[in-house]
Amino acid sequence: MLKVRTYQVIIHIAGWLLFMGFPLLFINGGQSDSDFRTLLVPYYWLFCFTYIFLFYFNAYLLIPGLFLKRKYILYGSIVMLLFAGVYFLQPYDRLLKSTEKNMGFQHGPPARPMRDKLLGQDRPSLPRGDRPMPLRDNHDPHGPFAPGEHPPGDKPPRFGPGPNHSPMPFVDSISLFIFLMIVAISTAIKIIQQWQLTEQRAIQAEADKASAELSFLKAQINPHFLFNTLNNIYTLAVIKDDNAPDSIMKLSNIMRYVTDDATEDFVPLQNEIDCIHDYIELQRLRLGEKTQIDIDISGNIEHKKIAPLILMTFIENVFKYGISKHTRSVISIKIWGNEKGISFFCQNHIFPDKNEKKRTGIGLKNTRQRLEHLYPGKHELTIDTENKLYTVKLVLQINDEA
Amino acid sequence: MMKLKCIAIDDEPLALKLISRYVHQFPELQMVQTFEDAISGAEYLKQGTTDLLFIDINMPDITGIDLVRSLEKKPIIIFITAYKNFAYEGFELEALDYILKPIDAKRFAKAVEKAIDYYKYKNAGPGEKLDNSLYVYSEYRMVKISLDDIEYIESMEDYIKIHVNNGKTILTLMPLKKVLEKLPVGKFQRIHRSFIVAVDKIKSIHNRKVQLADAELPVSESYMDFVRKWMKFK
Repeated sequence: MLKVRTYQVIIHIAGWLLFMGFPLLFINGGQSDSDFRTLLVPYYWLFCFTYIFLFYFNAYLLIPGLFLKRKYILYGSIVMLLFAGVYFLQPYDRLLKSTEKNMGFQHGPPARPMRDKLLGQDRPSLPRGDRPMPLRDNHDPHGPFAPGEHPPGDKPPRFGPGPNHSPMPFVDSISLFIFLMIVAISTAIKIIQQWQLTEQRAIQAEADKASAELSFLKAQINPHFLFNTLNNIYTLAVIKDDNAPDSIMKLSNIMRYVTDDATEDFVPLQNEIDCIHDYIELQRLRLGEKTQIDIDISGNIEHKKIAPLILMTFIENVFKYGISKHTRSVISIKIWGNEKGISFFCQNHIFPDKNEKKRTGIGLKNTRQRLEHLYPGKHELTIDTENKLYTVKLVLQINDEA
Repeated sequence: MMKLKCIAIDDEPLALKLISRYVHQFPELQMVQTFEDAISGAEYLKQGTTDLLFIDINMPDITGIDLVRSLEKKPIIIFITAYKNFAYEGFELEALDYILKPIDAKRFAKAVEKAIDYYKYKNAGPGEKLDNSLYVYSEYRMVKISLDDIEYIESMEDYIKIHVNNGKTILTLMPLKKVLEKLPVGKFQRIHRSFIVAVDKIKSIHNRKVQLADAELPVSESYMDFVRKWMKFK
């Protein structure tokens, strides 16, 4: 991430150095001694910073603040305002004039503007009047201009073949052209970045969901639970206990729920509650008299849908960490449904962890991620460990299905 | 008739029921008590009267591994576990066997027979080792090796590698000197710092080299007496 950032900064700096290099190249025609003098001209810096400012102002304020929020009219108006600003500021023309003035002072005779050179014209080779395009020479008599002024007859260089003193007001079209280019480039860059970001987020969300599902499947078909339960059912069969078929059905229901339903985004709340019931019934085969289970499911749970295995994860944790064969303890589980959604509560005694390193909290982290993903701003999860009790409260805002 | 005193510790009441039922089928075993609560089980074990312990690994209050580790006098241990992820830790505890749940009757019987064999072997007096087997811990469990199968034993630092006649090898943590003590005198002979050979399996001795079915072992100077004796008898 940091690497990408550094890379971006370097690209930007390189881009701007290139941009700042162009006027030096064109205005002075590559004469290195005058390059430095150009650097001393304040209008050079005005020119550069005007465009740098415009670029970032557009990219980091206008685009994310207005354009991407679909405030196109406001965005358009502000761009028009900036356009007008550049129209009046004429950064390019000022730069040009001030370098001419600067160089004029240095070289004595009227300065040869860069445009002569740009057009491939060499001063000595052509007498003044014979030039096909009367470019800057007509300015020479005016001498240097004061900042902010521009001569009425000044014309954009390439548009200048007409009469020198045209009635049309002067337009610094190069400045405006650069303006449009800068705005277009920064807009394009920002919008492409935005696209990439949206794309990445979509991919990330998809991957998060897949990994959550996968780890849930893995966690849910907990081999320890599965094989112990199978052993219990095996024992029931060996001792010809009547509970054997029933227990097989319960395990089968859990497995079906975990393998089938859990791949859906949302399932009926009743299915999740059935799974919890079956799970607790199978756990009762394993628990002795030391553990008491209080379970209370009430209120309106019909017509509600929930992301599968969210509640099951907490239930499973209760049985994983809240059981002792040595000390009496109570496990409480409550699920209420009302018109706003579902409230879930579970509490178990915390027994000193026999195997600290095994408890990694991956299940909990995963559940938090899933809640963020599936119930953004619509869930409230509080977990506290006061008084040696592990208490989970989860409130989900869910609308009833029609 | 000897009876092995057994106890079983498992947090699953039904698992205990099944183990008790299985144990009942062996006249050599006597189930003294079963414990759902591992802590009470550990307390009971301190009496040191138990011969054979069936114990689950993943239990709520203390793991079977930690429980066994805490015992000063260890009975013969058979781990019974739902999930295999603790086998490595059990290795250092020298468990006789591991059984996975659901507990299969035949697999259980095999473990119990091994336990009975081992119990007899351990409790036999010096002169009555009729069992003709060597017991070593290898690959997480106790392995019974018939002495007749052993070709030679190779020392590899702290371990020994037992080469048996079908080309198989058994690696176990034991010094060469200690295994020699466990073997009947005369049937096995040390011929080198790194080798013990089964005398019956020697095909020939030539130039300080002992030839076996598919190995040739060097004889060091200090064991040349044996070679001379062997030559004389043959």
